[in-house]
Amino acid sequence: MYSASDLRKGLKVEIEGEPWVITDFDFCKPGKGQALYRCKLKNMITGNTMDKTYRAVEKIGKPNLFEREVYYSYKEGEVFVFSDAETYEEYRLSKDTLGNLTYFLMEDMQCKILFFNEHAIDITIPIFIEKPIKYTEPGARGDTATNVTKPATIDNGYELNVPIFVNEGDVIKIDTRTGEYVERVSKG
Amino acid sequence: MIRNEDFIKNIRKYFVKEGFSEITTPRIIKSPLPEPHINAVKADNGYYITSPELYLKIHLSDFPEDIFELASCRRLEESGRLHKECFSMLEWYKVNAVYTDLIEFITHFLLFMAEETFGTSKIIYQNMEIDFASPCSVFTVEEVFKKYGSKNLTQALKEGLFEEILVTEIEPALPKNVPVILKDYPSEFAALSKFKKSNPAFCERWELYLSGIEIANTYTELTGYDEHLKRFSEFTEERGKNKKTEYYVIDEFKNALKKGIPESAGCALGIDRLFMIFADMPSIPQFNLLRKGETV
Repeated sequence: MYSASDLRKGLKVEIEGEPWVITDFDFCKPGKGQALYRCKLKNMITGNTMDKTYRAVEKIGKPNLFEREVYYSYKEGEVFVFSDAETYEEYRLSKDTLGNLTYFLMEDMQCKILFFNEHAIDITIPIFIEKPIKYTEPGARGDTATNVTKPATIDNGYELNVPIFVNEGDVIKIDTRTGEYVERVSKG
Repeated sequence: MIRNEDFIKNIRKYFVKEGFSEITTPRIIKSPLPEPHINAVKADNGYYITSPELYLKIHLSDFPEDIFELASCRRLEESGRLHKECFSMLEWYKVNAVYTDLIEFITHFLLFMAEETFGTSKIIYQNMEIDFASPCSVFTVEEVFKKYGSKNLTQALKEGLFEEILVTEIEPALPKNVPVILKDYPSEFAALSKFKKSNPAFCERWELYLSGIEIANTYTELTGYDEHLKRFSEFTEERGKNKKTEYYVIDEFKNALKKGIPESAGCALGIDRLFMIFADMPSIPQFNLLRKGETV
């Protein structure tokens, strides 16, 4: 258990059987009164947020959270299968848990899965990936402006905006946190 | 542009102008007074003061005069936007005065500080103008619970939610364009203030708020020996219940009480917070406002 004095921004706690992370924190103490620990919390599974105030005497649950290093193996219908880097045990994550990240998974990609009591609740994949452009309208020759963009599609159908000079077959770098174009790696 | 040195100089200027004597009391004491929720930082041969109250009151028993002190204080494990373990406090006592006399006094003090610092009665804090030429808005604690709280005062006290509602609902809703005084706290929060003769369920205590932030705390000071010991025994019991370090009342203070502390009103003002408001900072400054020699 945590004591109220352990609370700080970034700490992960358990409330009513669910893991929450403290996104904002302030200590306050009204004159001559008891200390209050004010937290803004985000549910690590649902993403819901809430405000909660703790007193000095309160105890707060410590969630059983752990990470496993895994490799992405294959897709089985709507389920994505990863294998444990040490034990080769397989973990199955749904499309809901992965969200947009499904577009950026590549075979044998090294990832980290965050578990809460044996349930996979989050995944971290490499920040940058490289993908070839499958389709985009040709840009005007000699146009090197980066502030003018056009839509482009990568091999798995994910669409993003790229600068006008990027052409089909070019390999680009994508930031998996935002899903946005970073730079052109090579020409097709 | 506000300079730390001018700010401190102006505080002194005001109090000297008003006929107050500046006192310097010890920074390390054998034991702080037992208050339910204030914890002291251990020093080599005692504790750092959590406020200069103890020896200022001892001084009052010897010399019943208007006094003030600028003191560096420490409180254990207090850290946040408006708190730091080592902070600076301005404390003053006006003899033959009651708590409401100090409302006018602090109104003049704030106006003086604004005019000396900026040459105008108005300052801007976080995009909101505060006019120190306007009189303070005075509310009773009961009124603000009714006006801004999700529960009335009686209900809040019954459910142990007094502090939580005060901090999360009332403070953010207080007017920000003028200084605000919340007065007549429930007697549970009297600390060392006198109970109101007309209704002992409340005490003669007020707090000053600027922009919804608590800045200063004032009492009509408790004077009687027996009443002090009764309060200290209650506070010690509460500390014991919450497994907090036991403090005791030092003999010098007991002797001062026996000799007699004059009727007075006392105010403690957090000068880090007042500086923060004047300098338009979102949180209190991390540097020490008082110079070496004035600090520990």
